[in-house]
Amino acid sequence: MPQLDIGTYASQLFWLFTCFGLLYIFMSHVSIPLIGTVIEKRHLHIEKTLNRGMELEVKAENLRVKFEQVLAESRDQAHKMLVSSVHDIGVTIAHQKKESSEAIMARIQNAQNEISKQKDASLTELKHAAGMITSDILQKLINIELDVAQIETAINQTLQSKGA
Amino acid sequence: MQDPLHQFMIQTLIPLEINGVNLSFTNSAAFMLVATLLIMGFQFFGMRHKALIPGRFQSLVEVSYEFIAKTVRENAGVEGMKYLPFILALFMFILLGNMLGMLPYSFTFTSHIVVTFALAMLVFIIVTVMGFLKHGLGFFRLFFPEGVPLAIAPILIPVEIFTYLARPLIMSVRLFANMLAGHIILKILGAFTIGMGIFGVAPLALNLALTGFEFFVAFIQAYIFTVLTCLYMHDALHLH
Repeated sequence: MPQLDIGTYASQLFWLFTCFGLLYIFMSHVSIPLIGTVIEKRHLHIEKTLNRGMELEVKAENLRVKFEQVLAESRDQAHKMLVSSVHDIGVTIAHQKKESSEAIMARIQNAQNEISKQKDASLTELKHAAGMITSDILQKLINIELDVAQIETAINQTLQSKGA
Repeated sequence: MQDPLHQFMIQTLIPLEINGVNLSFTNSAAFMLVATLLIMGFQFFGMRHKALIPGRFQSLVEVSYEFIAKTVRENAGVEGMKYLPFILALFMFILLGNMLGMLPYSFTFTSHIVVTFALAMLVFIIVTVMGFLKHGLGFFRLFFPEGVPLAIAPILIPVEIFTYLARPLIMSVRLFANMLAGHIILKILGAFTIGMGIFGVAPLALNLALTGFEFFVAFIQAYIFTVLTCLYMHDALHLH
């Protein structure tokens, strides 16, 4: 059995410790520090990215709260503006309504005054015409000449006595 | 039929003798050197970009590192991480030794008891020195744990000491015997395949399945050696 050939042991042990020693030195001084550094760097990078993500999340949350505040304030302001506008419009309408009705009343009054003036003028003319007609009739029927002014006075007295 | 033990023959490639000691470069030494260079090349080329986002090659190097780092952390504790270079070197060296042996016409240096025993002794010495450095004479507590009735001390202490001293032998024989037996069976079945003519299909099929199994054994034996090293380190660091 070759395994029991003691003559080969020295050579096997010598090369085993040479190779294993070389491998151990390579591992402890080159590869493991290298792999360790790369993995550590990756962990740090991941951690940094996660922290940045969390920071951004907090920032986003703050912005959302701020946005909602601004939105609520804007809504409140808009509501106030609406109420104030409705009130202003009501006041303006009432004011304009009042002005319009006053203007209409003034115009009605003027028109009534005018009508009354024209009525008086027409009545005066009618009385004068009645006086003249009456004077003409009297002169032609019974040949009495009466003053038109006297006849007008008589008509006035008659109308007043009848309450016209 | 060729001798199934022929594959384990040590053949001198470059004769070398220092002070009358034969240190010739043999087929065994050649495969040790190939394993060492392959591991170094694997790690060196895998990590040459030092990429933050690793490629396939770098991932493989990192996975092998993480696998052993995890084994050390779980079995030897965080304190054992100081010895990670030694344990990773041990695992990779044995794994490559076992795996290279699966190549046709190759040589399995882990099938030689002197090699596995030397590695086991190395572990044994390191663990013992580590224990004494950490606990001084308190390291002897390992042989008589606290809370055990004093009456059984005369039986327990010799048993514990014997178990402790038997560790390198158990570790080395397990690895050596697995490699030896596996390769002998593959060789014998190979000889049957040739010798049985058309009926050689049966041993060939068995050989095929066993070759797959041998790859598994090659890995698992390297892993067992590593885990045992970690557990012994844990014992030395924490005394049970």
